[in-house]
Amino acid sequence: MSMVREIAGLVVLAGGVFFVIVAAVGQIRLPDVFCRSHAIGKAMTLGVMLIVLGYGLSVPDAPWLKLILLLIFQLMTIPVASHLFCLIAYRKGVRRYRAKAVWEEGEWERIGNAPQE
Amino acid sequence: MIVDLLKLLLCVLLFGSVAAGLWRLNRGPTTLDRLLGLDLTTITIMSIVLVFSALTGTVEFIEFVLLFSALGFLTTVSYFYYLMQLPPEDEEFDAGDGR
Repeated sequence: MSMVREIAGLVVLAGGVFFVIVAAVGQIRLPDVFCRSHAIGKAMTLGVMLIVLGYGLSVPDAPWLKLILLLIFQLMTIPVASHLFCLIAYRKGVRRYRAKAVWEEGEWERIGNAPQE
Repeated sequence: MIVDLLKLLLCVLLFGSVAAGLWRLNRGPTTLDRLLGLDLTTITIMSIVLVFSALTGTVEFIEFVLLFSALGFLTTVSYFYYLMQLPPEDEEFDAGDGR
């Protein structure tokens, strides 16, 4: 029984770490403040919630009340922070990323940040 | 034991995510990008503490995790309160060529 709990905790922890790394890759690869805060607000929330669940599964006498408090807190604060990033960027007029595709050498080639109209 | 070894591997992978956040903190074209890197670093450090607690089986770091996540959120909100005072034509908000 203990072995089953350990394996389940490890699997859930691995899923959470996968989603956190997805958020980090999005942070590096995405072109814009809006896109990056999108990566934080969705992948990071799911990853952190899975990590908290995996911790609760893999520790025998886990304090579930504090873990549920932590879950609710994360679920409230990470999307709010992500929304605030987009709000400030919109109010301050940060230039949005606009991809433009040009026909060149027989294939479409994308050029980042075309001028705003 | 193989489960503990895999949890240690997960810790090492999360340090890669911290490196990504610090890279964005150094690189980002605008202030908001730097703040995003700080946010990612904070939440990932919290996750590292949780995975390490699961590795060693302790329950004593949960209060630290709660306080640290609350501090990260408060840091973000207070920086936003500062940024709202800046004029919109501030050059900190010019993204340059986007990357």
